[in-house]
Amino acid sequence: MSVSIVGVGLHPFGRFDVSGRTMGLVAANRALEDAGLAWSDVGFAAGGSRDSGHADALVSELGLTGVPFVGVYNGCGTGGSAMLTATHAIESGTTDVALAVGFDKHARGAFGSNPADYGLPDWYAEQGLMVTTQFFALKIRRYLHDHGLDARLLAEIAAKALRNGSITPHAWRRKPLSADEIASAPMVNDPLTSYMFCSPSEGGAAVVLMETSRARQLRNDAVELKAIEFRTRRFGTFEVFNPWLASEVTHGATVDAARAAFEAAGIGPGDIDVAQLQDTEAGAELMHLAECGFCEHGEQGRLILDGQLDVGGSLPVNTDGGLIANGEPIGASGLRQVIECVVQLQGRAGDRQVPGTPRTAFTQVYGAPGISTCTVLAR
Amino acid sequence: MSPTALPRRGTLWSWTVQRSRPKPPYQGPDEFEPFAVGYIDLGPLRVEARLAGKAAEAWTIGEPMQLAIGEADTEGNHWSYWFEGAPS
Repeated sequence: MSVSIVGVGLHPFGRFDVSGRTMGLVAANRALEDAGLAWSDVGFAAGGSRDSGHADALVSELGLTGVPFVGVYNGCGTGGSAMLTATHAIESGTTDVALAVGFDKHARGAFGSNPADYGLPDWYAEQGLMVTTQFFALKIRRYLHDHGLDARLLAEIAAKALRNGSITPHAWRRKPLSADEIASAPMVNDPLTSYMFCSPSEGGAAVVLMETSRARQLRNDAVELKAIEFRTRRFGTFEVFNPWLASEVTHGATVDAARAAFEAAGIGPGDIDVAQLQDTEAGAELMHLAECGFCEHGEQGRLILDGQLDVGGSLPVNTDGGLIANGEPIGASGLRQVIECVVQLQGRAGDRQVPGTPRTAFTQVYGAPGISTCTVLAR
Repeated sequence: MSPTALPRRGTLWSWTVQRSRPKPPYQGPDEFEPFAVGYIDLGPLRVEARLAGKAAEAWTIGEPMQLAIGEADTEGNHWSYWFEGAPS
Protein backbone atom coordinates (compact mmCIF):
# COMPACT_ATOMS: atom_id res chain seq x y z
CA MET A 1 0.00 0.00 0.00
CA SER A 2 1.33 3.42 -0.91
CA VAL A 3 1.53 6.30 1.57
CA SER A 4 1.65 10.03 0.82
CA ILE A 5 2.23 13.18 2.83
CA VAL A 6 -0.76 15.52 2.74
CA GLY A 7 0.19 18.03 5.43
CA VAL A 8 3.30 19.43 7.06
CA GLY A 9 3.73 21.74 10.04
CA LEU A 10 6.71 23.29 11.78
CA HIS A 11 7.25 25.32 14.89
CA PRO A 12 10.39 27.35 14.06
CA PHE A 13 13.69 26.02 15.42
CA GLY A 14 15.79 28.03 17.85
CA ARG A 15 15.23 29.34 21.37
CA PHE A 16 11.73 30.32 22.52
CA ASP A 17 9.76 31.17 25.66
CA VAL A 18 7.28 28.32 25.22
CA SER A 19 7.45 24.70 26.29
CA GLY A 20 8.61 21.88 24.04
CA ARG A 21 5.19 20.26 24.03
CA THR A 22 3.60 23.56 22.99
CA MET A 23 5.92 23.53 19.97
CA GLY A 24 4.82 19.98 19.20
CA LEU A 25 1.20 21.05 19.47
CA VAL A 26 1.75 24.04 17.16
CA ALA A 27 3.45 21.77 14.60
CA ALA A 28 0.67 19.16 14.76
CA ASN A 29 -2.08 21.75 14.33
CA ARG A 30 -0.25 23.40 11.43
CA ALA A 31 0.19 20.03 9.71
CA LEU A 32 -3.52 19.28 10.10
CA GLU A 33 -4.42 22.74 8.82
CA ASP A 34 -2.06 22.29 5.85
CA ALA A 35 -3.83 19.01 5.05
CA GLY A 36 -7.28 20.55 5.54
CA LEU A 37 -8.06 17.81 8.05
CA ALA A 38 -9.22 17.74 11.66
CA TRP A 39 -7.63 15.82 14.54
CA SER A 40 -10.76 13.65 14.58
CA ASP A 41 -9.81 12.42 11.07
CA VAL A 42 -6.54 10.97 12.40
CA GLY A 43 -6.74 7.21 13.04
CA PHE A 44 -3.23 6.69 14.37
CA ALA A 45 -0.43 8.87 15.72
CA ALA A 46 3.21 8.40 16.68
CA GLY A 47 5.59 10.88 18.21
CA GLY A 48 8.57 11.45 20.38
CA SER A 49 10.66 13.84 22.42
CA ARG A 50 13.82 13.46 24.52
CA ASP A 51 13.43 16.25 27.05
CA SER A 52 9.88 17.58 26.70
CA GLY A 53 7.60 14.85 27.95
CA HIS A 54 5.37 12.23 26.43
CA ALA A 55 4.16 12.81 22.89
CA ASP A 56 0.89 11.00 23.50
CA ALA A 57 0.06 13.54 26.22
CA LEU A 58 -0.61 16.01 23.35
CA VAL A 59 -4.11 14.47 23.17
CA SER A 60 -5.00 16.72 26.12
CA GLU A 61 -4.98 19.67 23.71
CA LEU A 62 -5.46 17.97 20.32
CA GLY A 63 -8.60 16.20 21.50
CA LEU A 64 -9.56 13.12 23.50
CA THR A 65 -10.72 11.10 20.51
CA GLY A 66 -9.37 7.78 21.81
CA VAL A 67 -6.91 7.57 18.90
CA PRO A 68 -4.00 5.13 19.35
CA PHE A 69 -0.86 7.25 19.90
CA VAL A 70 2.49 5.45 20.11
CA GLY A 71 5.44 7.14 21.81
CA VAL A 72 8.80 6.49 20.13
CA TYR A 73 12.39 7.29 21.02
CA ASN A 74 15.53 6.55 18.99
CA GLY A 75 17.87 9.37 19.96
CA CYS A 76 18.61 11.71 17.06
CA GLY A 77 16.65 9.35 14.81
CA THR A 78 13.40 9.80 16.75
CA GLY A 79 11.62 11.80 14.02
CA GLY A 80 12.34 9.09 11.47
CA SER A 81 10.98 6.44 13.81
CA ALA A 82 7.78 8.42 14.40
CA MET A 83 7.26 8.63 10.65
CA LEU A 84 8.09 4.95 10.14
CA THR A 85 5.59 3.93 12.81
CA ALA A 86 2.86 6.13 11.33
CA THR A 87 3.60 4.81 7.83
CA HIS A 88 3.34 1.20 9.01
CA ALA A 89 -0.05 1.95 10.54
CA ILE A 90 -1.36 2.97 7.11
CA GLU A 91 0.39 0.14 5.26
CA SER A 92 -1.09 -2.42 7.67
CA GLY A 93 -4.59 -1.11 7.04
CA THR A 94 -5.00 0.15 10.60
CA THR A 95 -5.98 3.59 9.35
CA ASP A 96 -6.06 5.81 6.26
CA VAL A 97 -4.77 8.90 8.06
CA ALA A 98 -1.85 9.04 10.49
CA LEU A 99 0.12 11.81 12.18
CA ALA A 100 3.82 11.80 13.07
CA VAL A 101 5.08 14.49 15.43
CA GLY A 102 8.32 15.34 17.19
CA PHE A 103 9.34 18.17 19.48
CA ASP A 104 12.03 19.07 21.98
CA LYS A 105 13.54 21.80 24.12
CA HIS A 106 17.07 21.10 25.27
CA ALA A 107 19.33 22.81 27.77
CA ARG A 108 22.18 24.87 26.29
CA GLY A 109 25.51 23.24 25.52
CA ALA A 110 26.45 19.77 24.35
CA PHE A 111 24.39 16.81 25.55
CA GLY A 112 25.75 15.19 28.71
CA SER A 113 25.67 11.41 28.85
CA ASN A 114 25.38 8.87 31.63
CA PRO A 115 27.81 5.92 31.11
CA ALA A 116 25.38 3.39 32.60
CA ASP A 117 22.77 4.25 29.94
CA TYR A 118 25.21 2.96 27.33
CA GLY A 119 26.43 -0.07 29.28
CA LEU A 120 29.78 1.61 29.92
CA PRO A 121 31.81 1.81 33.15
CA ASP A 122 32.07 5.13 35.00
CA TRP A 123 35.81 5.43 34.36
CA TYR A 124 35.13 6.00 30.66
CA ALA A 125 33.40 9.29 31.45
CA GLU A 126 35.57 10.11 34.46
CA GLN A 127 38.64 10.12 32.20
CA GLY A 128 36.97 12.58 29.83
CA LEU A 129 36.40 10.16 26.94
CA MET A 130 32.57 10.22 26.93
CA VAL A 131 32.07 13.38 24.89
CA THR A 132 29.99 13.26 21.70
CA THR A 133 31.95 16.00 19.94
CA GLN A 134 35.19 14.02 20.39
CA PHE A 135 33.67 11.16 18.44
CA PHE A 136 32.78 13.36 15.48
CA ALA A 137 36.29 14.80 15.42
CA LEU A 138 38.00 11.40 15.68
CA LYS A 139 35.83 9.98 12.94
CA ILE A 140 36.21 12.81 10.46
CA ARG A 141 39.96 13.15 11.01
CA ARG A 142 40.44 9.51 10.06
CA TYR A 143 37.99 9.82 7.16
CA LEU A 144 39.83 12.84 5.73
CA HIS A 145 43.11 10.93 6.11
CA ASP A 146 41.80 7.75 4.45
CA HIS A 147 40.33 9.56 1.46
CA GLY A 148 42.87 12.33 0.96
CA LEU A 149 40.34 15.10 1.63
CA ASP A 150 41.20 18.62 2.79
CA ALA A 151 39.82 19.81 6.16
CA ARG A 152 38.90 23.04 4.33
CA LEU A 153 35.85 21.20 2.96
CA LEU A 154 34.39 21.18 6.49
CA ALA A 155 34.39 24.99 6.56
CA GLU A 156 32.81 25.12 3.08
CA ILE A 157 29.99 22.77 4.17
CA ALA A 158 29.27 24.84 7.29
CA ALA A 159 29.31 28.04 5.21
CA LYS A 160 26.71 26.54 2.87
CA ALA A 161 24.53 25.56 5.83
CA LEU A 162 24.60 29.07 7.28
CA ARG A 163 24.07 30.62 3.82
CA ASN A 164 20.92 28.49 3.40
CA GLY A 165 19.86 29.20 6.98
CA SER A 166 20.07 32.93 6.30
CA ILE A 167 17.25 32.63 3.73
CA THR A 168 15.11 30.17 5.73
CA PRO A 169 12.47 31.82 7.96
CA HIS A 170 12.20 28.90 10.41
CA ALA A 171 15.98 28.48 10.88
CA TRP A 172 17.78 29.39 14.10
CA ARG A 173 21.13 30.60 12.70
CA ARG A 174 20.27 33.33 10.20
CA LYS A 175 23.67 35.01 9.86
CA PRO A 176 25.88 33.81 7.01
CA LEU A 177 29.59 33.35 7.71
CA SER A 178 32.42 32.87 5.25
CA ALA A 179 34.40 29.64 5.12
CA ASP A 180 37.42 31.63 6.35
CA GLU A 181 35.53 32.87 9.41
CA ILE A 182 34.33 29.34 10.15
CA ALA A 183 37.80 27.80 9.70
CA SER A 184 39.42 30.36 12.00
CA ALA A 185 36.79 30.11 14.77
CA PRO A 186 37.82 28.46 18.06
CA MET A 187 38.38 24.70 17.85
CA VAL A 188 35.95 22.54 19.81
CA ASN A 189 37.59 19.23 18.96
CA ASP A 190 40.23 19.48 16.23
CA PRO A 191 39.67 19.64 13.25
CA LEU A 192 36.12 20.84 14.02
CA THR A 193 35.56 24.47 14.99
CA SER A 194 32.58 25.86 16.89
CA TYR A 195 30.69 26.90 13.73
CA MET A 196 30.98 23.42 12.20
CA PHE A 197 28.74 21.84 14.86
CA CYS A 198 25.00 21.95 15.31
CA SER A 199 23.81 22.78 18.82
CA PRO A 200 20.92 21.35 20.81
CA SER A 201 17.94 23.67 20.23
CA GLU A 202 14.14 23.77 20.36
CA GLY A 203 11.38 23.20 17.87
CA GLY A 204 8.51 21.05 16.66
CA ALA A 205 7.66 19.24 13.43
CA ALA A 206 4.71 17.17 12.24
CA VAL A 207 3.49 15.46 9.09
CA VAL A 208 0.09 14.06 8.16
CA LEU A 209 0.23 10.84 6.17
CA MET A 210 -2.55 9.35 4.11
CA GLU A 211 -3.10 6.33 1.92
CA THR A 212 -2.07 7.54 -1.55
CA SER A 213 -5.32 7.11 -3.49
CA ARG A 214 -7.18 9.12 -0.85
CA ALA A 215 -4.30 11.60 -0.67
CA ARG A 216 -4.60 12.35 -4.40
CA GLN A 217 -8.28 13.10 -3.97
CA LEU A 218 -7.49 15.44 -1.10
CA ARG A 219 -4.79 17.49 -2.86
CA ASN A 220 -3.10 17.26 -6.24
CA ASP A 221 0.32 18.12 -4.84
CA ALA A 222 0.48 15.32 -2.27
CA VAL A 223 4.02 13.96 -1.97
CA GLU A 224 4.35 10.20 -2.20
CA LEU A 225 6.57 8.44 0.31
CA LYS A 226 8.25 6.05 -2.12
CA ALA A 227 10.33 4.42 0.61
CA ILE A 228 11.21 4.68 4.28
CA GLU A 229 13.87 2.33 5.68
CA PHE A 230 15.37 2.11 9.16
CA ARG A 231 18.57 0.18 9.95
CA THR A 232 20.75 -0.35 13.02
CA ARG A 233 24.52 -0.87 12.97
CA ARG A 234 26.49 -3.99 12.14
CA PHE A 235 29.63 -5.26 13.86
CA GLY A 236 32.62 -3.06 13.18
CA THR A 237 30.97 0.33 12.58
CA PHE A 238 32.54 3.48 14.08
CA GLU A 239 29.96 4.93 16.45
CA VAL A 240 29.88 7.30 19.38
CA PHE A 241 31.07 6.11 22.83
CA ASN A 242 33.22 3.16 21.69
CA PRO A 243 36.10 2.40 24.10
CA TRP A 244 37.42 0.15 21.33
CA LEU A 245 36.89 -0.40 17.62
CA ALA A 246 37.20 -3.50 15.48
CA SER A 247 40.40 -3.70 13.43
CA GLU A 248 38.38 -3.34 10.23
CA VAL A 249 35.75 -0.60 10.14
CA THR A 250 32.48 -1.66 8.52
CA HIS A 251 30.16 0.73 6.68
CA GLY A 252 27.57 2.44 8.86
CA ALA A 253 23.81 1.88 9.15
CA THR A 254 23.24 4.74 6.73
CA VAL A 255 24.65 2.68 3.85
CA ASP A 256 22.21 -0.14 4.52
CA ALA A 257 19.23 2.18 5.05
CA ALA A 258 19.96 4.26 1.93
CA ARG A 259 20.46 1.23 -0.30
CA ALA A 260 17.24 -0.35 0.96
CA ALA A 261 15.33 2.91 0.44
CA PHE A 262 16.55 3.34 -3.13
CA GLU A 263 15.80 -0.30 -3.92
CA ALA A 264 12.28 -0.02 -2.53
CA ALA A 265 11.71 3.25 -4.41
CA GLY A 266 13.02 1.85 -7.69
CA ILE A 267 15.27 4.85 -8.33
CA GLY A 268 18.91 5.63 -7.58
CA PRO A 269 20.90 8.45 -6.00
CA GLY A 270 21.47 9.97 -9.45
CA ASP A 271 17.72 10.51 -9.82
CA ILE A 272 17.39 12.67 -6.68
CA ASP A 273 16.68 16.41 -7.16
CA VAL A 274 17.06 17.62 -3.54
CA ALA A 275 18.30 15.97 -0.33
CA GLN A 276 18.48 16.60 3.41
CA LEU A 277 21.31 14.73 5.14
CA GLN A 278 22.20 14.48 8.83
CA ASP A 279 24.80 17.19 9.47
CA THR A 280 25.32 16.99 13.22
CA GLU A 281 28.60 18.58 12.22
CA ALA A 282 30.08 19.38 8.83
CA GLY A 283 31.98 16.08 8.65
CA ALA A 284 28.76 14.11 8.96
CA GLU A 285 27.37 15.68 5.77
CA LEU A 286 30.66 15.00 4.01
CA MET A 287 30.58 11.30 4.93
CA HIS A 288 26.85 10.85 4.44
CA LEU A 289 27.05 12.15 0.86
CA ALA A 290 29.09 9.07 -0.01
CA GLU A 291 27.33 6.68 2.37
CA CYS A 292 23.98 7.50 0.75
CA GLY A 293 25.47 6.89 -2.70
CA PHE A 294 25.57 10.44 -4.07
CA CYS A 295 29.30 10.11 -4.83
CA GLU A 296 32.22 7.82 -4.15
CA HIS A 297 34.22 8.20 -0.93
CA GLY A 298 36.83 10.88 -1.56
CA GLU A 299 34.92 12.53 -4.42
CA GLN A 300 33.06 15.02 -2.22
CA GLY A 301 35.52 17.84 -2.86
CA ARG A 302 34.34 18.36 -6.41
CA LEU A 303 30.65 18.51 -5.38
CA ILE A 304 31.35 20.98 -2.58
CA LEU A 305 33.85 23.30 -4.23
CA ASP A 306 31.91 23.45 -7.52
CA GLY A 307 28.77 24.55 -5.66
CA GLN A 308 26.83 21.45 -6.73
CA LEU A 309 25.31 21.16 -3.23
CA ASP A 310 24.03 24.75 -3.25
CA VAL A 311 20.35 25.57 -3.80
CA GLY A 312 21.08 26.20 -7.48
CA GLY A 313 23.41 23.22 -7.92
CA SER A 314 22.89 19.77 -9.41
CA LEU A 315 22.23 18.19 -5.98
CA PRO A 316 21.04 20.76 -3.44
CA VAL A 317 21.71 19.39 0.07
CA ASN A 318 20.33 20.75 3.34
CA THR A 319 18.46 23.54 1.61
CA ASP A 320 17.04 24.91 4.90
CA GLY A 321 20.49 25.00 6.49
CA GLY A 322 20.29 21.51 8.00
CA LEU A 323 21.12 20.87 11.61
CA ILE A 324 24.00 23.35 11.54
CA ALA A 325 21.62 26.28 10.95
CA ASN A 326 18.54 24.85 12.69
CA GLY A 327 20.11 23.19 15.70
CA GLU A 328 18.84 19.88 16.89
CA PRO A 329 15.64 19.42 18.85
CA ILE A 330 16.05 15.65 18.87
CA GLY A 331 12.41 14.64 18.55
CA ALA A 332 11.72 17.05 15.69
CA SER A 333 14.91 17.01 13.63
CA GLY A 334 14.24 14.04 11.35
CA LEU A 335 10.75 15.31 10.54
CA ARG A 336 12.13 18.76 9.70
CA GLN A 337 14.19 17.11 6.95
CA VAL A 338 11.09 15.45 5.48
CA ILE A 339 9.10 18.70 5.69
CA GLU A 340 11.83 20.62 3.87
CA CYS A 341 11.75 18.08 1.06
CA VAL A 342 7.94 18.25 0.85
CA VAL A 343 7.86 22.05 0.55
CA GLN A 344 10.66 21.91 -2.04
CA LEU A 345 8.72 19.35 -4.11
CA GLN A 346 5.58 21.48 -3.82
CA GLY A 347 7.39 24.62 -4.95
CA ARG A 348 6.69 26.59 -1.78
CA ALA A 349 10.18 26.93 -0.34
CA GLY A 350 10.39 30.70 -0.92
CA ASP A 351 13.86 32.24 -1.28
CA ARG A 352 15.53 28.86 -0.98
CA GLN A 353 13.34 27.13 -3.59
CA VAL A 354 15.33 24.73 -5.75
CA PRO A 355 14.83 25.89 -9.36
CA GLY A 356 13.49 23.67 -12.12
CA THR A 357 10.58 21.92 -10.34
CA PRO A 358 12.24 19.18 -8.31
CA ARG A 359 10.35 15.89 -8.56
CA THR A 360 12.31 13.61 -6.23
CA ALA A 361 13.81 14.04 -2.79
CA PHE A 362 15.78 12.10 -0.19
CA THR A 363 16.25 12.37 3.57
CA GLN A 364 18.70 10.69 5.93
CA VAL A 365 18.64 10.95 9.71
CA TYR A 366 21.39 9.33 11.77
CA GLY A 367 21.69 8.85 15.50
CA ALA A 368 23.51 7.17 18.34
CA PRO A 369 24.43 4.43 18.70
CA GLY A 370 24.42 3.72 14.98
CA ILE A 371 20.91 4.04 13.60
CA SER A 372 19.73 5.53 10.34
CA THR A 373 16.40 6.15 8.64
CA CYS A 374 16.26 7.16 4.98
CA THR A 375 13.29 8.21 2.89
CA VAL A 376 12.69 8.70 -0.81
CA LEU A 377 9.91 11.15 -1.72
CA ALA A 378 8.37 12.04 -5.07
CA ARG A 379 5.71 14.22 -6.65
CA MET B 1 34.26 -14.49 26.96
CA SER B 2 37.77 -14.70 28.32
CA PRO B 3 40.49 -12.11 29.01
CA THR B 4 42.97 -11.58 26.20
CA ALA B 5 46.30 -9.82 26.54
CA LEU B 6 46.64 -6.97 24.06
CA PRO B 7 49.90 -5.57 22.71
CA ARG B 8 51.21 -2.57 24.64
CA ARG B 9 52.47 -0.92 21.49
CA GLY B 10 50.65 0.24 18.42
CA THR B 11 50.17 3.19 16.08
CA LEU B 12 47.97 6.26 16.35
CA TRP B 13 44.85 5.67 14.23
CA SER B 14 43.01 8.97 14.86
CA TRP B 15 43.15 11.76 17.43
CA THR B 16 41.57 15.01 18.54
CA VAL B 17 41.93 17.58 21.31
CA GLN B 18 39.35 18.05 24.08
CA ARG B 19 39.38 21.83 24.46
CA SER B 20 36.61 22.33 27.02
CA ARG B 21 35.91 20.68 30.34
CA PRO B 22 33.75 17.55 29.86
CA LYS B 23 30.47 17.41 31.80
CA PRO B 24 30.24 15.31 35.01
CA PRO B 25 31.18 12.62 35.93
CA TYR B 26 34.50 13.83 34.44
CA GLN B 27 37.14 13.85 37.18
CA GLY B 28 39.94 16.11 36.07
CA PRO B 29 41.94 18.70 37.93
CA ASP B 30 40.06 21.88 38.89
CA GLU B 31 42.18 23.87 36.49
CA PHE B 32 41.21 22.52 33.06
CA GLU B 33 43.95 21.99 30.49
CA PRO B 34 43.09 20.78 26.97
CA PHE B 35 44.08 17.15 26.45
CA ALA B 36 44.44 14.82 23.48
CA VAL B 37 42.32 11.72 22.88
CA GLY B 38 42.84 9.07 20.24
CA TYR B 39 42.40 5.53 19.02
CA ILE B 40 45.51 3.40 19.03
CA ASP B 41 45.67 0.56 16.52
CA LEU B 42 47.01 -2.45 18.43
CA GLY B 43 46.49 -4.94 15.60
CA PRO B 44 43.64 -7.10 16.97
CA LEU B 45 41.63 -3.96 17.73
CA ARG B 46 41.84 -0.22 18.31
CA VAL B 47 41.55 1.17 21.82
CA GLU B 48 40.48 4.65 22.80
CA ALA B 49 42.64 6.46 25.32
CA ARG B 50 43.97 9.79 26.42
CA LEU B 51 47.28 10.74 24.85
CA ALA B 52 50.02 12.38 26.86
CA GLY B 53 53.67 13.31 26.68
CA LYS B 54 53.59 16.24 24.26
CA ALA B 55 51.50 19.23 23.21
CA ALA B 56 47.84 18.26 22.80
CA GLU B 57 47.71 19.32 19.13
CA ALA B 58 51.10 17.87 18.11
CA TRP B 59 50.02 14.32 17.17
CA THR B 60 50.15 12.65 13.75
CA ILE B 61 48.20 9.68 12.43
CA GLY B 62 50.46 6.65 12.14
CA GLU B 63 53.03 7.54 14.78
CA PRO B 64 54.21 4.72 17.10
CA MET B 65 52.57 4.63 20.54
CA GLN B 66 53.01 2.75 23.80
CA LEU B 67 50.87 2.16 26.87
CA ALA B 68 51.54 4.02 30.12
CA ILE B 69 49.88 3.18 33.44
CA GLY B 70 49.37 5.61 36.32
CA GLU B 71 48.04 5.42 39.82
CA ALA B 72 44.77 3.84 40.86
CA ASP B 73 41.85 6.14 41.69
CA THR B 74 41.38 7.12 45.33
CA GLU B 75 39.17 4.10 46.06
CA GLY B 76 41.49 1.74 44.19
CA ASN B 77 38.69 0.84 41.75
CA HIS B 78 40.63 1.22 38.54
CA TRP B 79 44.04 2.19 37.25
CA SER B 80 44.38 5.14 34.95
CA TYR B 81 46.11 4.52 31.65
CA TRP B 82 47.07 6.53 28.62
CA PHE B 83 49.23 6.21 25.54
CA GLU B 84 52.35 8.18 24.76
CA GLY B 85 54.73 8.36 21.82
CA ALA B 86 57.09 5.40 21.44
CA PRO B 87 60.49 5.18 19.76
CA SER B 88 59.98 3.89 16.22
